[in-house]
Formats: sequence, structure tokens, C-alpha cells
Amino acid sequence: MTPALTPDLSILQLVVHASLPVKLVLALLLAASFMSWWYIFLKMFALKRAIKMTDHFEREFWAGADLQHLYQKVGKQGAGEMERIFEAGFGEFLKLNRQPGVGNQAVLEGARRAMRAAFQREMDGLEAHLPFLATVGSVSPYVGLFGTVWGIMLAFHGLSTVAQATLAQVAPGIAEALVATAMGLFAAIPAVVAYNRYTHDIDRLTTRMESFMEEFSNILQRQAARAA
Amino acid sequence: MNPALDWRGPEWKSGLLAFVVHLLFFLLLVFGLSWHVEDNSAPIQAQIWNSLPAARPVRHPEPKAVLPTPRPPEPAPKLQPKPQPIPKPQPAPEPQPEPKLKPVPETHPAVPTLKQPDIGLDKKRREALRQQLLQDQREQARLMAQQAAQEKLALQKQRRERQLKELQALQQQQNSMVDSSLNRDLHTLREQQAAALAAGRLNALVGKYKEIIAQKVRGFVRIPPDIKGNPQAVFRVSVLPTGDVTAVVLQRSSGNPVYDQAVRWAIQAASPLPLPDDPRVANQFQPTMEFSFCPKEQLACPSP
Repeated sequence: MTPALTPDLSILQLVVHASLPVKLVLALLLAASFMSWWYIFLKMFALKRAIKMTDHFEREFWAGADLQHLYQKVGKQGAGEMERIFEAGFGEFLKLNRQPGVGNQAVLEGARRAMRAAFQREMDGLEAHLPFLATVGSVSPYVGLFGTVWGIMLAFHGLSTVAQATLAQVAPGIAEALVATAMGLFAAIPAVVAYNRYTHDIDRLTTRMESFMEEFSNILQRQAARAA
Repeated sequence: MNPALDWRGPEWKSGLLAFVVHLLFFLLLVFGLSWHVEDNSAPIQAQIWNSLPAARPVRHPEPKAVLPTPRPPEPAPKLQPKPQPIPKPQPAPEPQPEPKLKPVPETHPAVPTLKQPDIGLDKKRREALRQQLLQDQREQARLMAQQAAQEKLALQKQRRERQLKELQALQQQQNSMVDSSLNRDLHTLREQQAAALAAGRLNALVGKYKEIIAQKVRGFVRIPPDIKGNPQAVFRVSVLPTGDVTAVVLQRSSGNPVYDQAVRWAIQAASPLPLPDDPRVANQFQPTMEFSFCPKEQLACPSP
């Protein structure tokens, strides 16, 4: 019974008996890990939704829905990223078209500018929190390493005061110090994986939105030419 | 405006999920480490067991019971004859093995005279050996039979595979023949196209493509059941150069709004429409085209 129970206590004891800097490092890493996992899930939901909405809108748009009808619909519902870009562009196009004395080229330029602005705003929203994941991924192993080095330093310092040096005297100190490295890696690995994954996803979304903007500009140009 | 602040639900959900992940990690750490320690304790127990028989045979009578058990592997051949003395009276009812055994002692006369009590044992041993030989032969025969059966099976398999391959080759041939005929059809169609253009019969081609487009749309139409006669609906369809449909506007209703709606949906579903490659012909369909549709192909459309 006793040999099976002590290790359960010892993992907690390791943390409890650790020196203050090591404890601080562990607390910092735990907080960083928690925040990064929070953002990982948050971004996961957000990106999934964005991709789904974009798929849906692209299908609807290229299925030949009437632009006016689509514009009305987008205004009513909770919209995705690409829908908001479409809304901004088409809204600007209609507004400029209604004003007399504005040339075809100027109308198109205005619509393009509106779409570009909406696109930047959407990108900003999608990329939020990603730098945090990158920071945690690159820095937390070093922070963990710092905790470990500090703990080992203390362990060897304690060893120097003892006449008969044995492994049993340093082992707990080193084990306690290594917990910090484990914690650092635990925080870093998912953050790096998630960062790479999400960056790739956002890149693909960006490409889709940019090509949509180009294609939509062409459609607007054709409509303007037909009206003139 | 900012979408990052709109996710009320997901924020709570992801916070909870992050907490669950850390709880799992903590449990893994605690139980994972305790497993390692249990593993370490096991070899220590083994060492105590090894030292027991060497250190305590004098003090305790229990280890004595343990000691004879490791011995059996060595005297095993000696122990076997011991229980066999019981069948000693049996040799009398069994006269058959005796004649065979007799010639053997004759070849070694010196050994039996020296160790008379061993003769009986030798007999038993030889008998056992013979039985073993017989058993071995039987096993060999069985193995041979198994091998033969396996070889048969393998042969059958090979034959079946060969047949399958032949069948597949035949199918591929047929497929390629169908493909080539299709290609030929396409080829002839292109040639016809060129010929028609050369002859200046543009309208014929336009009519043909109209028929092709109508055919594609027809595949998507779900005609309501209460249709009478062969009413015609006319739409103005806006098409991109790629054939994508951007707008469908009703020009002349057929008189049945349900049917009009069905045709509109079908035109949108048929996007992209098959447009001709030739720009001169394609210009007839772009940027907008008139599209009339009648539900029944066989009957003539009432002319507009």
C-alpha cells in the first residue's frame, strides 16, 4: 500500500517543496498554457464557422442568386466574412450609382476600395490572438528551462554542504526542477501546432476572399457597362 | 463590427475545454508517475525471492519443498522408468515385442551381463523409442498430407486469379472501345461545328446549343403534377463567360406560378450552362439570353 501511495503524494510534494522561482515559473507556464488552449479552442470554433459561412456564401453567390436579393438577405442575417465584404462592395456600388455625374470607373473604384477596407477588417478579426499562440510556442520552453536550471542549481548547492554526497540527496531537487521543463513543453507543443494550422487556414481563406473580390469587381463592371 | 468580440458562446465553451485538457494532463502526470514507481518495486521483490533459497534452507523446512522442484529437469529420464516397473508383469500377455527385442541384447552381450537390472529398463526405453518413432512417422505423414492440401489450395487460388485478370482485361477493352466511340462522336460534333460555321449557318448551331442547354435544364426541372397541355415559360438569363448563371428574370409567365418557379430553380441549378467554345456562337448567349421552356419534349411548343 505505502509504496503505491507515496508517488501520488510526491508529484504534489515536488511542486509544493519547490523553491519560489520554480513555483513562479510553474504558475506562469500554467497560466500561459491555459490561455493558449483557450485561444486554440476559440480560434478553432471561429475558423470553422468562417470556412463554413464562406463555403455557403460562395455556393449561393455562384448558384446565380440575384445580386439585389442577395444584398437584402445579407443585410438581414448574421453574416460571415465574405458576405460582409460583398455587402460593403455592393452597397457602395449602389450608393455611387444613384448619384448623378459619377463615372463608371469612379463607381468601380469606390466599390473596390470599400471591399478592400472590409477585407482588412475581417482579416484583423480572423488573425486576432494568433501572435499570442506564436509567443507561447516559442518562449515557454525557455521559461521552463529557466525553472529547471534554477532548481538544479539549488539542488547542487544543497549538495555542497553535505559531507557524504549521495544521489538520493540531489534526485528530488532535479526531479522537481524537471517538472518545469515538462510544463514548458506541454504549453509550447500545442501552441506551435495550432499556430501553424490556423495560419494555413487563414491563408487559404485570404486567397478565397481576394479572388472573390476580383471576380465580383468584374461582375460589377459588366453590370455598370450594361446600364450605361 | 468586430467579429472577434461577437463569440459569446464559444468563449465559455473554449474556456471549459481548456480546463478539461489541463485536468487530463494533471491526471496523466499523477497516474503516469505512479505507474513507473510500481514498475520499480517489482524487480526488488524478484531479488528477495532469488536470495531466499540460498540464505534460508537451514532455518526453514519450507524452502526444502521449493528445492526439489527445480531439480526435475535433470533426472527426468531417470524418473520415467520408475513408474514403469508396474507394467513388468504385462510382458507375459504381450509376446510380440519380445522377439524383436531379443536380437538387440545379443549384439551387446557385455553390457547386459554387467547391469542385469538395467535390461528391463532398456527394454522399456526401446519400446518407448519405438513408439516415439511410430508417432513421428505418423506426424510426418500428417504434415505431408497438410502440405499437399495447401499446395492444392494455392493452385486453385492462382487459377482463380488468372481468370479474374482475364475478365478485367476484357472489361477494360470494352471500356476503351466505348471511350473511343465517344471521342469519335465529339470529334464529329466539332467537325460539324466547323463546317456549319464555314457555311455561315450560325443559326443552326445556335439552335443546337439551345437544345443542349434546354436538355441540361430539363434534367433539373421538377414539373408540378397539375400541368395541363404544354405551357411555355420565357426567361431572361444572365450568363458569365464561364457559363455561370448570375440572374434569371421571368419574361413571360406560363400562367402557372409554381411551374415558373420550378423552371427558375432548374436554370439556377443547371449552372454552369454548356456554352459553345466559339466566341461568335457564344456571343448569341451572352451576357443575357432568352430561354423558353416547355415541360413536354415530344409535343411542339406553342409558338410565342
